[in-house]
Amino acid sequence: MKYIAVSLAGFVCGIGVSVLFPVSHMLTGSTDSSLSGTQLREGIIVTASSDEATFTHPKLRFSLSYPKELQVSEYDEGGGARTILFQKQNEQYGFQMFVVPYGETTITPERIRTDIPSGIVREPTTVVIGDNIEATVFWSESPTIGESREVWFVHDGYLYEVTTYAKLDTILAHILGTLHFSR
Amino acid sequence: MHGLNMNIASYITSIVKRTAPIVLLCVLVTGIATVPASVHAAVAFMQDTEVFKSGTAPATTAVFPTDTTSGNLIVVAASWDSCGDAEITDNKSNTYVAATVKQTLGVICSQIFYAENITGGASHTVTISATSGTVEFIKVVVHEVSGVATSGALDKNASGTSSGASQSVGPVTTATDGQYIFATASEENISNNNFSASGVFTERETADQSGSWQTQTQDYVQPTAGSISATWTASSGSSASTVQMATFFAAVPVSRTMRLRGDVRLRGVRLLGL
Repeated sequence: MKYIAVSLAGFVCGIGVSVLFPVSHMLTGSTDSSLSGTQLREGIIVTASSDEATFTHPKLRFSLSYPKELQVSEYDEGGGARTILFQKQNEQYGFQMFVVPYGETTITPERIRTDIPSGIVREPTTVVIGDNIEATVFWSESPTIGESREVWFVHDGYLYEVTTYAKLDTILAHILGTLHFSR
Repeated sequence: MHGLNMNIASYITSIVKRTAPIVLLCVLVTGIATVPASVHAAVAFMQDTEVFKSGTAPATTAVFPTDTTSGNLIVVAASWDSCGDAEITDNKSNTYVAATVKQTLGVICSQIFYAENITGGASHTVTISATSGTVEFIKVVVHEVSGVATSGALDKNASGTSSGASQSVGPVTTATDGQYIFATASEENISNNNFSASGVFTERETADQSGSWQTQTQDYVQPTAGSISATWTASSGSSASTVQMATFFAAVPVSRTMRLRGDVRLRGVRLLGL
């Protein structure tokens, strides 16, 4: 009887916690404010339509179209690397482009280990995106965002690592279909 | 999947595969784990160019044969006569600084310069200008190198003169693994001397007879930090040369920072084992 009472109390407490902390709070992600990096403002944004905007990067000389509800920010990661973040405010909706100087012409296991310490690379596939750019797409796991979709390619001395939430795979594919380099 | 040139069938197959990724995952992780670890970027020689001039003009310009890449290192071996000062400039507004002292031998002097974290691009030209004195001969050899640190790149240098059938400069002791070692030898070609790389070095610019002047360059990526000398074999052992060396840190790879918002929900589901 004592055990039944304890179990019942635990069950009631569980319901109470669920009421006090609605599901919507559990769905809300977090941004780690401890991340370092200097914010840059090099990209140029032009509203292309009611739904889309075009982002052009003058230094890297690429452009792409993206849902204009995404906010764009750029971070200097040091060593010539930068991250361009396209993120809807307060939602797990968006993607990031990590761009780093790269002396190789192919993606090496060492580079994968540098950026994906877990080494999780599922279903790597070679595809062609946007402006006839050959890329490797695969699924991975991130301690921060969980299952991720990765699109990596090398262009003009830089490695581009494009990452999004796995659920946004189709949207990312559409966005990268608009990727264009000016030369 | 739109835009990624995957047909519907292959995409459906990929979705099915996602339900059973364990074996593939283990293979990939095992494969990656067996690759030797390296904390430095791969340093690589990309290309070189050279130019020689004789006459009264105080400057001369070398042109890279292919586009240079932003972020790379440019190293310049310069030699000239009369031994006034010289400066290096280019058409991409990069800044060049001396990697060694100016080494003098009779009427010839030589010096290594470099520009780190360059702005690159097409039709990249590098110019050497004599800023004092009257020069007749200038020889310059220019290397483009990838994977070198983008700031504070210079580690060690050495400079001197050498003679005999086996010539050398150094040793210096590098501070870190994977450094780019650049070395050059120059002489006035009165004795028709001819240098060639020896030891671990790879010759990039041969010591051809540019008028009465020659400058040879060679390089090496040193896997492990330690003592190193640059060495040459000379065809005319009685002739003396200026010999110089500079070593450059390999870049430490910048790893990715995940800036996307964290997925609390997914982590919660995994904790519950659902």
